Amino acid sequence: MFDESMLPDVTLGEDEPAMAKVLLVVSILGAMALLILYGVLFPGSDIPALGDVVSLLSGLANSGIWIFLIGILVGFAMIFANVLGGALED
Amino acid sequence: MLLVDLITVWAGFLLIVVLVNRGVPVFQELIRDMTDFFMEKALGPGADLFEGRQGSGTVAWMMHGMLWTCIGAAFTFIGMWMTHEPDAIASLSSIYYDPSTSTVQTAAYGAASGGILMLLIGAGLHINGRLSGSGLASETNAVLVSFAFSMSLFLGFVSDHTDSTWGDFLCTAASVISVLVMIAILANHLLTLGRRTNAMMPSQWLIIGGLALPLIMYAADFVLDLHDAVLESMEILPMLASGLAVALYVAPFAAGTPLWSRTLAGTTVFMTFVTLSPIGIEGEAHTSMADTAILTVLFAASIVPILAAAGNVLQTTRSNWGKASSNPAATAVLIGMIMTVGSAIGHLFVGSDAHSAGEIQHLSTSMNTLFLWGGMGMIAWGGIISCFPSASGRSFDSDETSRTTMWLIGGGTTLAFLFSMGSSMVTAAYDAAAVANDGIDPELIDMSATATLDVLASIAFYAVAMASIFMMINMIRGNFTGSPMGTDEPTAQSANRIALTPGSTTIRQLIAAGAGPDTEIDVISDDWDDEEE
Repeated sequence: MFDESMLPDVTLGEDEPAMAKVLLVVSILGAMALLILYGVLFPGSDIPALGDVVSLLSGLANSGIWIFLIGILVGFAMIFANVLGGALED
Repeated sequence: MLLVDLITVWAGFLLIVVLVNRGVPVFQELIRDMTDFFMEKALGPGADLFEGRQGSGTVAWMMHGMLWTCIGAAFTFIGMWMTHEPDAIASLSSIYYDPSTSTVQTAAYGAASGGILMLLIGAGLHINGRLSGSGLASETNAVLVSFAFSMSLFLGFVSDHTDSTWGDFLCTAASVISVLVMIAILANHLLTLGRRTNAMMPSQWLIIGGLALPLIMYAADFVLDLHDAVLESMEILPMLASGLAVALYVAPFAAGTPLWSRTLAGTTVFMTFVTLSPIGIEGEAHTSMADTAILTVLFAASIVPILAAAGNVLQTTRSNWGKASSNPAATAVLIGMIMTVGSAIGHLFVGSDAHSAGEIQHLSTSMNTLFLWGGMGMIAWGGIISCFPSASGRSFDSDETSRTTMWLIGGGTTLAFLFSMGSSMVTAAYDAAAVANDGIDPELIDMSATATLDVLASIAFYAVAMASIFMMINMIRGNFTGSPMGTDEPTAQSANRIALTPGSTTIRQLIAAGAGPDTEIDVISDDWDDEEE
């Protein structure tokens, strides 16, 4: 039986978190920091919609929902690309 | 009369039990052969379109189901956003897409519930084939009807957007196709059971009963004109029973131990079909006070099978926690069962209230979200993670993605439920205050607090939409390039052929060049060509 009393109070392991998870956490924290910074610098102003930033989309993306919809559209495009790529690869 | 209609439900369940155990006297062989014929050969060229490989039925149902889950999640997110900003996608009116908030929410619920039901049915096909010991009776038919069910969901999705007679026609067509598909799937399950070499397991009873009892009751309605409250409860039964079936299969499969309690499993099966579930009902049935009292007792009793299944699943995973906790399928099912219990208790109050005072109906949308995504969605996720690799013969592209998406679904749904419920409760309180005090103009009440809660709910649900897309990509990549089950081959594709010139090289350089265990290596030298000449 392993005697736990022989261990020191603190030990250090060798494992590290996956880089993808580190980047994900840093990205989320970064996004939150930017949102708070925007609120501090421009108090009372709405967050700009995609159409306010990209002039090409000024007539289309005039709501904040489009920032999220772009992600969903890219996701569906990736699904389509993966199906197409998988089918043609063989 | 409600009591007579309830006896009809119990008689229907008894009929299923007797027929599954004893078969149909005299005509047993004839019915089996005829069903077998209609499942494949009678379909002619339709059946020849698909090869009917082992597990292909499950894969087809899960792929279609996940696609509809992605669509449903995306539109649910849009519907949630439009709650606080109705003109959010108004710019799409330039391409003639200008739906109202309720239209988007209705279409989203149809797509999401259909998609999650497809995932559960796909898992059910795999479970019944495995537990029977004989494999699914007709993989070809299962693949074929998955396309038909997908088509019915598409027609339903279009009809939800079509506010005309054509919308009604499309809705009718979608309903007819989905009923025919359910009959085909039920026949496939029954044929599989007819060839079983093992004893019937609780999951199999739940799968068969969940598909058969609503069909029997809807057929009986033509003759007996059943109470609307009974028919309302039957609508959720295929999903609820399939979800419990998947949970009772995945937990022992992931933990590597037998299902903890035979009595609790039997209670789950029996009470699921002899009670009426309040989940999802809208109180459309006109009921007397006596009927409402009977319904309330039955609604309360319907919590028993869910609690029994949750307890059984929890104890099963506890008995080998080390193995179960490292399997995301078991974690997903555990979270799903806990959320199902929560939503069932919530629906008990909302459903009972629907037939009486109607005071807490503002909670029904949030409760439906919790049940559909938190309960059935999470259990379906567990079903995918445990059944899809076995059915396709290949592992997922990334097990880590499966685990991440599971947490995104769980976290996103819980937060969206809490925020949307808070918003609806505050709104209902404002409305009640305005009604109680005639001096308050409802238009002047500041609703910015609920708008903030609605924003948070929709952003939380965005995690669910993205998780569905990530899982779909994971499934597609796994199905094409995942490492074959039972081997430790790398998932990356290796080159079929590599040409080398004479000289020395290392295995590391060959692997870096894309070589794998099956790569053919040709050594080509110009000197050999000169010698041949």
